[in-house]
Amino acid sequence: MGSVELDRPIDVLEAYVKKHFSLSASSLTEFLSPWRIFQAERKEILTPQGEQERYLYFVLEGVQRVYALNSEGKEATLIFTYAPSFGGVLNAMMTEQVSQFFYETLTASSFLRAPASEIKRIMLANSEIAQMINLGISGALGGVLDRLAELQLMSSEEKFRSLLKRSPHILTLVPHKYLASYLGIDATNFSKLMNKVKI
Amino acid sequence: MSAIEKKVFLADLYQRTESILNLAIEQYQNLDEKALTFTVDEQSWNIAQCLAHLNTYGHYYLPKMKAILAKSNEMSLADYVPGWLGNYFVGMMDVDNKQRKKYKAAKQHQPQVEDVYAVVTEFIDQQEIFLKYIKAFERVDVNGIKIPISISKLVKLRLGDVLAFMVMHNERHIHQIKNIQRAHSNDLTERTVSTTLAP
Repeated sequence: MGSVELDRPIDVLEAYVKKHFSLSASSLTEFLSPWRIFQAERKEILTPQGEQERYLYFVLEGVQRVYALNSEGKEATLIFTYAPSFGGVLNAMMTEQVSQFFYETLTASSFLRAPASEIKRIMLANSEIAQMINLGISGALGGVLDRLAELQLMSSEEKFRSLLKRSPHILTLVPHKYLASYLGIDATNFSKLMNKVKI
Repeated sequence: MSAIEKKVFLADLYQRTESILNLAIEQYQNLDEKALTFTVDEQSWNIAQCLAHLNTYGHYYLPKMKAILAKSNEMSLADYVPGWLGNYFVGMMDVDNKQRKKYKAAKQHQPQVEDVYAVVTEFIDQQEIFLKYIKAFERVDVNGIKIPISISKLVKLRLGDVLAFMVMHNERHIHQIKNIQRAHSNDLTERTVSTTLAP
């Protein structure tokens, strides 16, 4: 039996949900209903700091980041998102508070996105979907805790290797300054590390 | 000179700049010091020098573009009409031009390389910024606004001509970089072969 070719973006999302969660057929149909295609160019800010997160994103193509910006203009890249995964500033989406962070494309990107209000409505009406979203958010929280532990316990070289293990192609997908920021390394040390580790 | 629909003109410049940026991200920022400093001969530039040369133009023109965008310009969607002087400079840079000559860079555009990785990082930074500006110029009069050229404040070019020149000039040196990479690859192959065949 051959593999099913996923032509439509919604098929990609369906396959992802089926792989990571278990939903009844009717709940799956309901969950898939509010998603629409959205495309953005490189370096487009999808969610500015200080505004509400209006969407839940599902990444089809490209690389994006969630980043913090301090009052002196210094940036810290917190999370990368790329296909296939959910994206957006998830805590802001769930709490309906203004976002403390930016969500931005680093390359030309395409997504499916659903209005946060629709996701909330579906969650209220369907407890199976609500449970799925809770599991997803818990997974994301676990990822953030792993990252915090990594940042505090690992050496620069270990962090770099860990990143490459998770995302082997990332060195050729995004400018290294964002990777350096993500790893908490300055750009000069990043270049030295890159040449040391890659050999 | 025939008018070109502005949207088409800027979309073309955007795509070409995006291609150059992608090359820099996929390839140049992943090259080691040897590759970045390889030269065919003593008179020719290496990759780092080519990029440093391009950076000198960004140093001069990008702040001028930023200043234009910072002013509240009257919105204009008028077609772009190439100026004769702009066409002349663009023609000098045209990679496909069979009459293409070598030009000696003006003093302020001679490459100064202290840190090869920093040069690549800056090039990527500049192209990201340049892309944003190209997009922003959709609403600006690219015919009426003039910028003094870097090598003579007495000579002013239309903004549209400056944009066309910048992209064509970048492409000229990207073409040069491809030739350097090819020569380096041939050089490495020859060394490997001669080492393999050595008695």
